[in-house]
Amino acid sequence: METLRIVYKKQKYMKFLSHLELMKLFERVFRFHKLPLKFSEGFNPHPKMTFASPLSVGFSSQSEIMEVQINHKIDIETITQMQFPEGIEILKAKYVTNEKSLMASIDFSEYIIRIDFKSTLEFNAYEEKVESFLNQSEVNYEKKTKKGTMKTVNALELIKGFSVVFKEANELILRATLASSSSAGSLNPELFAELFLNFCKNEKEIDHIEVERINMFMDQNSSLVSLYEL
Amino acid sequence: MKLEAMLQKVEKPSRYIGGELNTFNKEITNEMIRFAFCFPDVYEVGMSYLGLQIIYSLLNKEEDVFCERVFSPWRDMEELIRANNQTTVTLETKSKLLDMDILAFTLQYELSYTNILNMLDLSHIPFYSKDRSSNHPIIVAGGPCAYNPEPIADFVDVFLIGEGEEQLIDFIEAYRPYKAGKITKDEFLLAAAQIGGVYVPKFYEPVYNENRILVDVKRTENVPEKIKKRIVRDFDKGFQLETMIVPLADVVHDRAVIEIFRGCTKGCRFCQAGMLYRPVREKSPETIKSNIEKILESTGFEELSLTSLSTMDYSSIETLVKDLVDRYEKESIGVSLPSLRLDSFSVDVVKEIQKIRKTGLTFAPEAGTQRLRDVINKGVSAENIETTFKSIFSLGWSRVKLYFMIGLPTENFEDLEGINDIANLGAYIFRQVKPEDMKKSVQVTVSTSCFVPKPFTPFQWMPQNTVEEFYEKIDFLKSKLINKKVVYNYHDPKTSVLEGVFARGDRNLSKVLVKAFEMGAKFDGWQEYFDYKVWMEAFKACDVDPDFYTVRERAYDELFPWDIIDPGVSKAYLISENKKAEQGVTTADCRDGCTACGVNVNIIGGAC
Repeated sequence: METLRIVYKKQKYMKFLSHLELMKLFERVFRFHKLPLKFSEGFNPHPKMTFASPLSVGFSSQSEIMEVQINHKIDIETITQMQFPEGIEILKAKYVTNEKSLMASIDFSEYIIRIDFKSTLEFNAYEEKVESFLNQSEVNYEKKTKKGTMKTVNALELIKGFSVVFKEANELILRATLASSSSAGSLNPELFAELFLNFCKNEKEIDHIEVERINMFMDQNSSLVSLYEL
Repeated sequence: MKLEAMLQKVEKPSRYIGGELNTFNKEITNEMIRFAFCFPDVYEVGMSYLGLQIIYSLLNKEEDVFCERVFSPWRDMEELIRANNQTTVTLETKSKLLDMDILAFTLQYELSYTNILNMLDLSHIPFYSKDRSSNHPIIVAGGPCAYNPEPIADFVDVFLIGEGEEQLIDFIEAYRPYKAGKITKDEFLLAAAQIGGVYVPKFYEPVYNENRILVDVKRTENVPEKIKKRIVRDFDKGFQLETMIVPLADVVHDRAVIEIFRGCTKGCRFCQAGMLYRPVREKSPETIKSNIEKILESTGFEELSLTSLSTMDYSSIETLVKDLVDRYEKESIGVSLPSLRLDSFSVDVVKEIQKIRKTGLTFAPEAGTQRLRDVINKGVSAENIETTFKSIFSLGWSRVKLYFMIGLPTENFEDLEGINDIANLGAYIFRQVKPEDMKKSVQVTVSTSCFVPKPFTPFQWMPQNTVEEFYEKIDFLKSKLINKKVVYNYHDPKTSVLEGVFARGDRNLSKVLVKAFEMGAKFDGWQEYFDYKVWMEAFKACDVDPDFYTVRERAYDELFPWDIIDPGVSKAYLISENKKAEQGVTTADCRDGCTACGVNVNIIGGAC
């Protein structure tokens, strides 16, 4: 048995695929390319695949990671040349010996958050606001727990890095590294943007927000290591 | 707001994105014939339809044709489209329907007619053919409901009757000079009317008497008196479906589908498909296997389904299924059969299938007593039912679904009690024959649908039950089906009655459709959308009585709106079947000898 780690893009219209739809697509493309998939036992055998920290529907990504178990090694080139619908593309692949599960490895995700407003922005001080935003003692929000009860979370504890990249006419672009760990909590980038805009006392109506994930990190002794490097 | 931004706001954006494996994206030139296959329901439903896959593959093989797909937008998307002054667009190139040359709607279900109007409305295309110019796309319709084209004849330019594989190619051939600007729209329509199986309603004018009964159809010269359905004579040759679009969104039937034969020889008297798709034409096992191999290779599907009417009737079904299971077991590709019948139920076949995936079992006795099963010519005996229960439960199944119809001609309360008897028999036999180590308890699910008399069946003259009669029967069944091991589901009679109106409707219904649409009717096949009150108000506003179409008993000599179509099966045969039904006399499966329905004489030419 071999574990294959694949780094891929999820962009254009393909960002609208849900996690389940994405899994099905990968299974079919693998079958189509005759990958020697390893299947689970039981009445409904499924290929053994893991996707790191699934993206929300509508978020695109410059690089996502997944792992699939196969029965025997095949050429890496065969993998990287696999055909997907436009928007999904395999960037690289390699065989890994997995000591730690992929899901558990992820601590932070870095996002580009593009906010389009319905009218032109007059306020110019978004950049200056970053520091004072981060220097607050707490930025609390209510979050529903798995049990269904509400819990107060301090967003600042979930922000690793944040900057304003770009501002023009009716568009604002943020770049943020936010917690996205399955165990230690995560912060939704859209919610993060909302918290920041509230802090800036934004009153402009938002047309829409686009989010793109650009990196995923593992916290190794308080320094961030990109998962693509692993 | 652009499409992308709209997609950010809808519940299931993957319905609208396209780009699936095996889709096409051709260069759009001035010469390219732009054909939109329009399915008047959502993506998940439309993508499960085999006909879409066939037509898509068939037309895109033509170099100068680009077939794209369009589905009904769901409520959330429709609101965004309207609020942002957008239109419905194709999945492939996100083009407006107004930019297409041909819009081809498939008519799978009468209750999707308002969705057709909605798709036109969202594209700013006039409903009535007479209001459209040569700047508008040609509107085409086909599929099973096209066999009674009249309720939507005012909206559609061209109906294609029968099987499309050869007919569509002929139709495109007739379209080419129109595309090139060499002929006018009327000249094109007249040329199209000469193609076998093509009905152009504007050349035919119905005449009604004072009781609104059809008495004559006036036609312009040079168009056929009757439109004979088209079929593919040799199903084993000609176009073969060898690839399929692989849906990205979770669709209803998400698997490779291989049609193993067309037609059905059973002769169930309620069944329209059984009459329409005659004669039976099988594919050879070699062709089937080759099609499957090619489809699986090009799609990566993890399940394959053999499809046809009454699948177990395929000549060598057992060997075929065994071969397929042997071939695909190691790749974890499951084999399934969609329609199993009690009478031909084969334990061996089911054993084979469950090797890979254990699927649910469904059987359709259709009626509760032998008397009524004889009336409808459903060749299932009490003994068949018992044997089947014994086989499946001893094999270790514990759940079975039974399908019945209520409101069948001559039905009485004894027949309804028979449904309860069959369900109880299932639960009883389970306890007798279940494997010793079986811990699970049995569950028998009884589902009833409401009978809708359909054109070109022996019951086309019969009245349908009223909503009240249906509810009375449902209530009776509820009071009888009290066994804890039996679950009862029933289909809403109101939708079935509305289906009944349009199934045997005429051109007077087009105004009702428009009225109901204007009052908000759409997705009428969806329980959460269907509003019976709106429909009743629409009928009233248009001074059309729905009972005229449903509960009125028709005389044998009445001219029907659909008599303009020739499905091959003769009226004389349908009358004789109707009479036999009244007497409770059965007709044998025509694999065991010709029953003279007329299809071979009328469509193929020559005797059986």
